[in-house]
Amino acid sequence: MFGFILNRLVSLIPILFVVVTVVFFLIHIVPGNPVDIMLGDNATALNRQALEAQLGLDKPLGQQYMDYLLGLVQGDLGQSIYKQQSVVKMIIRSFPATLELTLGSLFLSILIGLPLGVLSAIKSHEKLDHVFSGLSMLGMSLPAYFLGPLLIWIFALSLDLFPVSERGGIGHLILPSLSLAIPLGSVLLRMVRASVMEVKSQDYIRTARSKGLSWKGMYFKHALKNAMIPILTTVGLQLGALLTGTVITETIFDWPGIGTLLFNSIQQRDYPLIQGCILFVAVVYVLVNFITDIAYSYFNPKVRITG
Amino acid sequence: MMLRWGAGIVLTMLLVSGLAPWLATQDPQVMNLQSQYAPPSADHWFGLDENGSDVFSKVIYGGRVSLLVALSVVFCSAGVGLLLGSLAGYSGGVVDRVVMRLTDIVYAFPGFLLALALVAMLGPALSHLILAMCLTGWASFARLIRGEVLHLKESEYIQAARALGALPHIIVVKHIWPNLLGVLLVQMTLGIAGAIVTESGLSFLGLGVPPTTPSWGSLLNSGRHFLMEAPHISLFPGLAIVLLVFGFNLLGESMRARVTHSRDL
Repeated sequence: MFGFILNRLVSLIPILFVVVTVVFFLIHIVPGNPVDIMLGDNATALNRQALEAQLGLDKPLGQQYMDYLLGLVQGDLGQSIYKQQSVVKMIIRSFPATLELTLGSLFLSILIGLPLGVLSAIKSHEKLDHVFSGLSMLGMSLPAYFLGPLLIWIFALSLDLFPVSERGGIGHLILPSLSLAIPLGSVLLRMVRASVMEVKSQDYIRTARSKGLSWKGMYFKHALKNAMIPILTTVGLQLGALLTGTVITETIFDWPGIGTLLFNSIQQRDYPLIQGCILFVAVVYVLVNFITDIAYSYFNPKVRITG
Repeated sequence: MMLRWGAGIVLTMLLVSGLAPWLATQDPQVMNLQSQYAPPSADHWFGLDENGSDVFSKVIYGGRVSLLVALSVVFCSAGVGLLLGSLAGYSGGVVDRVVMRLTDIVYAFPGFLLALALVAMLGPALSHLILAMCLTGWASFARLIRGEVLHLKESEYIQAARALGALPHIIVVKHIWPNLLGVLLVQMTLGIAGAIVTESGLSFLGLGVPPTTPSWGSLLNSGRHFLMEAPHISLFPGLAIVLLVFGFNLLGESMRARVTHSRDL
């Protein structure tokens, strides 16, 4: 197991390196001069030079890259142009809100997917199973940017049950989480059903059944336990998808997290802040997938040998 | 049953988008400034938006954009994935390791975020959007194809072809690719559903197609500021996205069920 983790850690290095490098080059693919775009037409030559120096754009490319890497190692992602604050500090301030939304959505999607998936497998090929199958297919096809406004229209504006936007108590969390949890819960439901169905047909389950094990014992003690491996993997991969999905959901609900920070920084063409946010989310995404991978192989030793 | 429904929805939507210039009741750019926010009526089936443009016409024109982007992205990704996956799977050795390491790196990158970053920097344009989505899209195809090729490579008819002295590229193109068609089509169909969701999401954020092009995402976004007065502006483009994505998902999943079923026999 230790060797496997070490092996995976080594393969993490080129991935992180590519992520870091891609983010570095983002400001260099801006058509024209990024300083002109940021300052607009009214800027004086002096202003331009000052900003160029602040961003380090006046140095040779190789030097810029080295400075960027050096800053990164020291936890320095530069200054926001508009707020004149440290990008790292702004990200750290926004992260708890994003984490809250992500975990809330994950919790809700498990709450939807797990019990309904098991139920679907219990009633496999019966009417209820078909209904869930259709509903989950529909749920999978509901993007958060449609669900979000729809939920706001129905539950916040028309019925006045929940607040329209912004962060606050648990009431504020429900609608944004739900808009992410319905599609992901639907994916999870299908995954749980397929995993439980697969385990259900295994020989050892049939043996246990023929020895007189009740169906409840079968589903909850044996089937679900063994189905946990693919379920865990799905949840882990979903966490990464959730994290990038929050960019849209946060803008809809004015949720003060990384997504809103990124969206606003794009609107203001605050390039250092854009780069910082992208880098942060991408690195967290890569790390979450890495941890999922490790967890998967921990529960499924077969992977360690072949992988 | 599912297959028929999925195919029916997809074909209808393709047809409506293809015939948009003839089906549109009004030029989507025309603004009826006297009757902004007007609710659905006999003249304007989906009502009017905040500029007084006809929402129905905008929705069917928007479908063309979504389908154009999604189909371009999926065909481009599938093509690159097919070539690299076949190369890796059939050659093995160093080539396989290099290609797969590259695939792993791209696969680990959050695709939506990269597309968002690239369009944010390059500016919204159809070509930027398609390019940005293809950059990460091919990796899942390459993985799938490599696995299939590795599996097929060991089958008896390929070994027979090899024993008869057939050249590697002939074997791959003539004997392996026809057998990949099923899995490839399934992955492409589901890929289109995913690409539509991504495209509309980016357009929703103003980071997809240019603002003047009618698109479901941007229509949905402009409508969400008028949910109380005119929910129809967001509702109809949203329903169009859901219907098309649902259609492709339904089609893809039922095709998958058939492909895997016929293989198990």
